[in-house]
Formats: sequence, structure tokens, C-alpha cells
Amino acid sequence: MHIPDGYLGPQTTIPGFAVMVPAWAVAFKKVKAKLERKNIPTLALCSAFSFLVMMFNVPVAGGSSAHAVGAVLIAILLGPWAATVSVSTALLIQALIFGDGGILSYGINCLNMAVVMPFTGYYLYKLIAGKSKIGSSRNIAASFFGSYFGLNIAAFCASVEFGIQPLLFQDAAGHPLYCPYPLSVSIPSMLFAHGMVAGPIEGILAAAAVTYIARVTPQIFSGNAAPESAGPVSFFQRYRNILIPIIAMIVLTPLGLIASGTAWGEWGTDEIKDALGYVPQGLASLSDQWNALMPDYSLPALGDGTFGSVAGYLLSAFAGILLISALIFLMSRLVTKGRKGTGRK
Amino acid sequence: MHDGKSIGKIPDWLLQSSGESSNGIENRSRAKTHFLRRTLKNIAGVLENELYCEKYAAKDSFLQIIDPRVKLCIFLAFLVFGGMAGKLAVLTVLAAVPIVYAGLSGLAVKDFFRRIWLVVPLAVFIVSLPGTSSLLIRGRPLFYLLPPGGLGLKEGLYFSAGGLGTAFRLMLRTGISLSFAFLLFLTTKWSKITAGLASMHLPPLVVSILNMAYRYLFLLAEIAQGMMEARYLRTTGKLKLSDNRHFMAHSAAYLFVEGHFVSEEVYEAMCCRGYTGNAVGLSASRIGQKDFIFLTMNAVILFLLIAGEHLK
Repeated sequence: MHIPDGYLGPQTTIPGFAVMVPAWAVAFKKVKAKLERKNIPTLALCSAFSFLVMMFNVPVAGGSSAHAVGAVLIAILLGPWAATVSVSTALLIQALIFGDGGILSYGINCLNMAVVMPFTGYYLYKLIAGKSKIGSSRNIAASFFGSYFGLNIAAFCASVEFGIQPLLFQDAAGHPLYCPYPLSVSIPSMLFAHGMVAGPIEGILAAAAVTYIARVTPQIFSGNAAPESAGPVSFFQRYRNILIPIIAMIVLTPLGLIASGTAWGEWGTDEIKDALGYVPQGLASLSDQWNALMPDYSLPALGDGTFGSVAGYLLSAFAGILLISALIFLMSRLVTKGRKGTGRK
Repeated sequence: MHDGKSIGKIPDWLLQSSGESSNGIENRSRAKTHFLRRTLKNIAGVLENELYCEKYAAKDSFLQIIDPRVKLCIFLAFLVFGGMAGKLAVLTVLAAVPIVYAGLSGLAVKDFFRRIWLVVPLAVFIVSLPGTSSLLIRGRPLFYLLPPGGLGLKEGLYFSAGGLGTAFRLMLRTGISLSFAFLLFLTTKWSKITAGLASMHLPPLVVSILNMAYRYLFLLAEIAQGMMEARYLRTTGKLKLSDNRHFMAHSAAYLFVEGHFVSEEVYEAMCCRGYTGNAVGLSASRIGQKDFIFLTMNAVILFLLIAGEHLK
């Protein structure tokens, strides 16, 4: 993913620097505040670590090997801003001394590998890991997926940067001035290579490294991980992972008003009559058996206007979820009560 | 006299003749420790590169005595121009500039050329070939790889002058960038490069991190090398792919832990020596007459190249 000079036009690489300068400024400020005066040796060692991790060849199937980037691993251990500083420094040394990645493309390389990768990977890791204990199965899975997707999202960004070159920069004869591969080639080829080989390697390295550090020196995670005993937690905190999606679903239910027509198979007798010209006798008799409390997700008391419809949808969703949750809760109590009783005996 | 089976516990490979035995192990371990050898090669490359650069940067030749700030500015100007130039002739001339400088600065030109042009630019050229063929860039065919109708391709597979020009342009730009970067590093000590960056108003924190990162890179590289060598020497028999992966991941994790502890020791050592949060450099260079001459001559070269680019 180290883009060499020549593949991207200056009109792409210079904006890369324009984006990175404020990102570096914020990163240094944040990291300085977090690590205080210890920042220089810690960040220097992390940069050296980042550099060396890119030299670690991890075996892949078929006897070959591939190297990892380690940006998400550093983000998990020290936070995403520290990863930005460390990976940027490592990339600068690589570009200047080893010619790995260009000088003009340094800004773009940093954007991909020192910003996009650690930030997307880290927040995905946080989302999956939640409040799980460092080194737990969920936490390790989160490290794997965070690293895997962080790398692939960064690779996607790089592929877009490659792919837009032939669209943007051509000579008078229409020949591409920089990377010749269009988006239709660059995106699949980059994502295939990173999704199948480099991504799993990145994920495995991060997950195994997190497991190792959690066992050997868990104190390194301090500041980035949730405390193990956080004291009493509120109802919302405890069930946040369930409640947030449910609330989001309730809020989104009025979207049903936008849809025209009726879902297939959910026709009322009026709609069946319009479509077929008659209502089957059995259906007509059955339809009168049950009158819903809130017909068509509306309450007569709220009126027929937009407000009434939206409020009706929300109330219906809320009532439905409450009813179903109560049933599931009751069922779980009945099931676990029996199991606990057996256990005590 | 004896065969392996009759001795029982002694493995067969130990009873083979020395030549056969070592070759056998070598051949078997090659299949299993490919990743270790590649990692060791990478790390050795870092250490070797440092020795190589130190050897030339310590010389007292042409580019070595030029102020690093002047070199940085001039080389950056060449790089930006190289990124924008489109004419192959101009790019070729620009590619020759660092080679001439290398020769005048006492560097081994053949080695310089080999290190730069036969690795990344060549790879860039090869990788760009499919994209610059008639599959993506059409024009008047220069030569055919597949005649029209071959492999179901109606127009065949060929390279046009425009397509090949694009491939060469990519290769030249990559090579030019690498050449100037290497030239800067081969003729300037790292501490002088960072001092030059500091005098160009790069924040002191960044300069300190760059300096220390570069210094401790070799310390961590040696630790990593030790781990890989130990594993390589101990590896016999067939190991599971997952075990090898875990070893590499645990090595990376151990390196991080080691680096973390070293950073705390380094910080304490710095405090003992009176560190208050601001790093102070000892080298203070001044721009002299030779630097002005270098600046002027390169400005003329750049002007000529720009003129060449805009000639009809």
C-alpha cells in the first residue's frame, strides 16, 4: 500500500499534504497532552516498532508470506492519535531511507495508513469490543475485525486514489499521465489482494498480539480499555447494545409512510377487491373475526394527519416491542428458573 | 556400518554425512521457514543500509559539504518538477542529474544505479505494462504481443507509442524520486537532515521523535533479529502454519512490550541528564559561499529543464 512517486499526480499528492498537516497538528497536540513529557521516547519507540512490524513477514498458505502494517494494533494499544504520529514517522523514515513509498506521495500514504486505517480500525474495534475485558474472546475478535477492515478500508482509499488518475490526468492524445488503471481495475485488484491475503494477516497479527500483551503486560492497555470493575452501572449502560438498535428501529418506523402500496401478501379486503374484482368468501368471513386495537398503525384519537400517522407508527412500534420484550423476558425467567433450580441441587 | 533404524533413538539426519545432512536440513527448512528468512533479510537490510549510508555520509566530497537545508530545498524542487513533467526526454535528463551528483560525491555509481533503478522503478514498469497495453491504452500499434484475433482479442494485444510512453514515464518518475531521496540520505547524516528540518521550522517535538525513532530503530531491529535467529536455528521438523503465525504475532507483541519498557528507561535517563522537555541540538550549520553556488547552479539546471518541458 506504500504508493511510490509517479503513480499519482501532484494535484492529488499536494491535497494529501493539505489534509495531513492539520491532522498531524491535532495528533501531536492530543498525544502530547495524553503522554505528557514521556511522549518523545514513547512515540519514538512506537515509531520504531511500527517500522519494524512492517518488516515482519507472516506466513500465508502456499509457503509464501506477507507483511502487516500494525497501525490498528498501535491504535488499540495507545489510541488512534498515537498511531497517526507513530505510523507517520515510520513512513517518513521508510520513504527517505529505504525508498518505500514516495516523497511526494508521503501525505497520501499517511492519510491512508496513518489516519484512515488506525481510526476506522480502532473505532470498529471499540464498537465490537464494547466494554468487554481485554483479552476476552470478544475483545480478540474485535481486534481481528478492526485490523482486517481498517486495512481494507485504507486499501480501498488507495485504490480510489489510483483509479481516479486516468480520469483526471491525460495528455493531449488522451493517454494517462499517471496511474493507467481505472477504478474498475484498481478497486477489485486492491480489495482482492488485501481482502484475501493482507487483511487476514493484519487481523491475525493484531488479535494474537493483543492476546499476548493482555496476558503478559495488561497494564499497557491502561487509558484505552474499560476498567474491569466499573462500579454500579445504570439500566441503559447495561443494556446499551440492545437498546440503541431498538430505539433506532423505533425512530425509523415512520419510514413506512414513505412507501407506497402494501407489502406483498399483506393486502386488506379492499385492496384484494380492487385487484381481483371480488373478495373470497372465506377471507371475508375471517377478516371480520379480528379488529386490531390500532388499525393501520394509527390511533383514531390522534387524527388522520401526518402528525397522527407518525405518532401512530411510533406508538405501534413502542407497544409492539414492549409486548414482545415482556414475552421474551417472561420466557427467559421461566427457562432460567428451572435451570438454576437444577444447578443448586 | 550402522544405519539409522538400527540405532533407534538417534534421528536419521544426524547419521548422514555432513554435506548431505546440511543440504537436507537446508532444503527442508527452506520450505518451512520462508517467513523467518524473509524477515531476517528485511532486518539485515535495515542494518546493512545504515552501515552503507554511514560510510558515504562521512566522506568529505561534493554533496557531503553542502548545507542540508539547501540540499533539501533543491532536491524537493527537482522532485516536484519530476512529478509534473511529462516529456520523456526531460524526465530522462532529470534522471541523469542524481547519477552525476553521485559520481561527483564519491559514491559507487554502479551500485547507486543498481540499488535504485533495478528494484522499485523496474517493478513499477512491469506492473504498469498490462495497463499501458492495448487493453487500456489504444493507438497506432508499435508492436504486437498477440496478432489480431489471437485469444479471441479482435484487435490483438499490442503496445502503442503512447502506452509505452506512459509506462516509461511512471518508471522514470519513481526512479527520480528514489534517486534524490537516496542521494540526500547517502550524503547527509540523519542528525544533519533532522537539524535541517528543524531550522526549516519543523516543530521540535517532531524532530526529537524522528531522531529518537531512528536511533532506537536499530535497537529494536537487533532484538527482533535475535528472536528470529533463535527461532530459525531451533526450527526442525514440520510446524503448523498457525503456530508460525502465532510466533510472528507474539514476537511483534514482545517487541512492543520491550519498546514500551525501553521508552520508560530512556525517559528516566533523559531526566537524569537534565531533560526539561526541550531537546537541544549541538550542530549549528551556516549557509556559505559553496551553498550559494550550488543553489544558483541547480536553479539554472531546473530552469533549463522547465524550458525543455515547455518547448514545442
